[in-house]
Amino acid sequence: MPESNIPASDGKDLPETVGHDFQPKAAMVDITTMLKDAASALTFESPMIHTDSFNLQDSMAALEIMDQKMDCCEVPASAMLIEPTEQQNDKDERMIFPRPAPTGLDDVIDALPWDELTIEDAAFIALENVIRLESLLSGSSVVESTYTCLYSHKVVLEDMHKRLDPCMSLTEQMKAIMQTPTQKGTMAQRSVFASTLLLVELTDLVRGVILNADIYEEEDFGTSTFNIASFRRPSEGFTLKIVLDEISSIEEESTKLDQYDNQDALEAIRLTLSFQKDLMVAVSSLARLSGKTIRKEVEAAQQSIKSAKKKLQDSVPIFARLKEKQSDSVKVILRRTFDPFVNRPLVGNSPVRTIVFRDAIDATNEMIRMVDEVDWCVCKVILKANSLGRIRRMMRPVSSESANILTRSLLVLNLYFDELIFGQYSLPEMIVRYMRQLSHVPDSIVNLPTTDAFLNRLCKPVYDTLKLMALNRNRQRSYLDIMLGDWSALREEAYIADMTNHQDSGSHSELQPHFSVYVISTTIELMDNYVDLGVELELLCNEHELTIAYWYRDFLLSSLLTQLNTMRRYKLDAKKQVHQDAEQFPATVSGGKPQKGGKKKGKNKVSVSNGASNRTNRDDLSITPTVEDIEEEVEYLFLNAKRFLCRGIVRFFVSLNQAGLIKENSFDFTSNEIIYQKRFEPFIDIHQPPYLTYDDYLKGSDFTKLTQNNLVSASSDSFGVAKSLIDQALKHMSKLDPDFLPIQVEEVKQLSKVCVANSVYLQRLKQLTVGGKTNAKLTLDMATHKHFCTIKLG
Amino acid sequence: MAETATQNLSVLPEDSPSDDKKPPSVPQIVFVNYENESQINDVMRLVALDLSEPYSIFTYRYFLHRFPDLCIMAVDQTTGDVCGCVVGKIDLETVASPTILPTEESLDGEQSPADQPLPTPVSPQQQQTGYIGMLAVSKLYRRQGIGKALVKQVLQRMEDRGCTSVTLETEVSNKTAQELYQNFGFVREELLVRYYLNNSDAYRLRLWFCR
Repeated sequence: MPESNIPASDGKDLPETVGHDFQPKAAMVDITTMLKDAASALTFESPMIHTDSFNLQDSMAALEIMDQKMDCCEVPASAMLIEPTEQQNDKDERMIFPRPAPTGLDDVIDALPWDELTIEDAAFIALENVIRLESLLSGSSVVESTYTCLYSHKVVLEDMHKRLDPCMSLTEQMKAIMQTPTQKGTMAQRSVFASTLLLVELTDLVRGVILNADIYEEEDFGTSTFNIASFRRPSEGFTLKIVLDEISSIEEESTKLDQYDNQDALEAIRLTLSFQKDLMVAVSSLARLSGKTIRKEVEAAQQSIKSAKKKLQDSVPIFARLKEKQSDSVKVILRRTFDPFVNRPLVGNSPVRTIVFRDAIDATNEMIRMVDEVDWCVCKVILKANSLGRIRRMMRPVSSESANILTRSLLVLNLYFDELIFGQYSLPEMIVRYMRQLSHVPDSIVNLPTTDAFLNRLCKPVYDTLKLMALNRNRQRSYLDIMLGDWSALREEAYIADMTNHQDSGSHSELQPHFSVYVISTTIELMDNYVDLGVELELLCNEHELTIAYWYRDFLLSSLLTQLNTMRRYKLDAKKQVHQDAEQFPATVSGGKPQKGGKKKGKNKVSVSNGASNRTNRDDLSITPTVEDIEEEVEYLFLNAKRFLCRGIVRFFVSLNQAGLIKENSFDFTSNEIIYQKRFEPFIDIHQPPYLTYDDYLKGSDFTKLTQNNLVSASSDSFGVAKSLIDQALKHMSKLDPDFLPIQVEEVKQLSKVCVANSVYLQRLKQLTVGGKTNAKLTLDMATHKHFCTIKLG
Repeated sequence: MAETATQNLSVLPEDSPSDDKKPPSVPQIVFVNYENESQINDVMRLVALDLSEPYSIFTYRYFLHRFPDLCIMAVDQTTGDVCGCVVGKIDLETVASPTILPTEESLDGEQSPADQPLPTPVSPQQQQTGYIGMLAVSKLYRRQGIGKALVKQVLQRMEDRGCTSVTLETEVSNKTAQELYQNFGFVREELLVRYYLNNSDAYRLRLWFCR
């Protein structure tokens, strides 16, 4: 505190009319000089007169109290009305403090509905709890979702438990021992208790999964952030027991109520409780897989998830019927039991995010979708993806569909545990099998110690490429920036491993740099993904930036296809060699099966090197393509199709430029070259493929030597080739398991549409050019396919 | 209030060294610097009307007291009304520079990748980055180039103060603002999901100065 220039006063300095018993009506004292002296004594380091319990931040916060915008506890009075009436929307509406968190069922501010609860009330409360759960899973914090249900607060749950626990009195405990338990409370009360318990249990479970997976970097939406005490369950399995008891009680009651009005309400409660219970069981199970029973546990979880989805779907028409005849009293009950403002005092004195809940039908449909995702994004992937190629293909839709955070967290949590992929497969083995699938790496290389060392080195980067697909699309792009550096550094190591292996194997044939090719092809895929995401997120959005993006993608995809062709050539050469040998020496080469007598020879020799066991040549060299061969072939065809699509779009843009329909911008403070350099800065550190400069782009996109007609034709040809490749791939796709498709059928149709639509608009451009028109309206449409634009000319 | 805003204000000079740096002129509008607390209400009024995010007076003071030269106001000469303003600041940003690649002279085209010299990594650097916090123009005065003029002036000042780039955030749905900034060469750098309090997404835009 700065030294004060204000003289100490013992009251003697005060005017005579002002005594120690100061009367408000007495004469006022002019303290201007006193304040000026005090203010002049303040310094930057000590900006105000303060004490330890009241500092600058407190004074700033105090000034914002009751500010309509800044004070989070200024709530419009109309929002707090219990009885629904016409609401005022004018800015002069009275603002009030939100109700505090309840202190129990008999809260002094407003007792929570309890004795008067009906079955209909309980059904709608259960539905509202599902809406809160959906909001939590969609990214709201616990104070914005779960704990807007007043029943979910710890003291209320404890109160409910106390009132409903049949074993609280000695008599009841004796009855329980005598196995004549009594049920306390009404069915409505027990249902509300069960439904709320499930909401809290699921909240804690979901939070635990997401925190452990650690792919969600936004605010911690757990209870600890806001100092909310969570209801402590008295024992393991407490919630499940309560819920199962209540469900069977409802089922029993339902049989007695044939034509009773409440049949729908009872059924709605039963389905909602069962849905939440099944979801809880599935997520709990998937969150702690381990040991040798993984597949059984996942299958059981899958059954629970399917059951949960079915129950929720069945509840939709029932709730629709209930809503039609929903009474006003139910609406009042809901307003008394769900309050979006109750947690405002917990978030500090700052403006808060608008809390928005979907309506019941939308929330339920969204919840059904999220639950379904757990099945196909987690359970199916763990059960079916048995090779690196298939894992990538099955995880790609998880990435592109932006699956829910819970789903992606469960996937990441189970991606690598017990030192195995999905707790089942050795990653080094998987990498080798994948490389063999693509390019056939001979046993003489696979079984070398250098290979082991390099494979172990590859594990983390390969794992990262899989984990990448579980991040949301926006975060993937940021993470790719870092990963590209890692993969670029790997290239050197791969080359050294190839050279060493070549020398150690004593082979006199030409060096086949399998690892280098694999590392380079993965690097190019990541680079292509980086540019692709820029287009999808609409970060690259105008004609000029999209031209550059597709031009660069054309180059990257061409480089990738070159690498893949190299790998395919190695495999083809190896196949030819094997079959030539088989024809020449049929007695000694068995083509993959162990010899009689138990001793394995030739290509089936099992290496004793640690980690290289079981890496023997299999039927990946058979003439008949395997199912995985066809999957890879389809992927290859689509890569090629995308390359031609990019090429076609670039030429289309250049044609538009030549026709004067688009013009390049120039800027006062920056330049197109600087923008290009910054856009592709993550690629500068990568040696192969080489970084393309802005000059390279200008030269590569310079088609001035072509006439407009020729350019338009070239563009049209590119779209034509892309379309035919897509059609070719479609024929193969019908033979494949839909779960292993590299691209979904829906996306294939979208790509086809883009090819056809762009071809049509190219013809339009031709007509315009012939007609000498230069002012057509140009629209870039990403709605058909989020990675490839349709260039529409009006 | 309007009179207070225009008293003792220094109007930005029109005779600047070069045409590039000359403040753009808009008929009947003068551009003035922020000079003292008496102008803060005008800034707050304009911003509060148009921008969805609420700011406390302390937020305004944080910008205006630390970077008064990066707050420029547009004043209608005939009425004295403050009809537009831009508020900015400058931060130090740690930027990881790209690795220095071997030059052409150091590379032998016949060398294998293993024999080529390794790139030299460069440690992260601190660079000055401008930030445009608020831009607002009264509804009655829009489509006259005032917003463009304000942005141009603040960018000029940030460049003069040694900034290497300038960033800002704008709502995904705010096409007008995006077009304004993109015409200056701002590009979309990142998508910020649920950035604003009304749960809407934002783009972070960035402009890199020519150096």
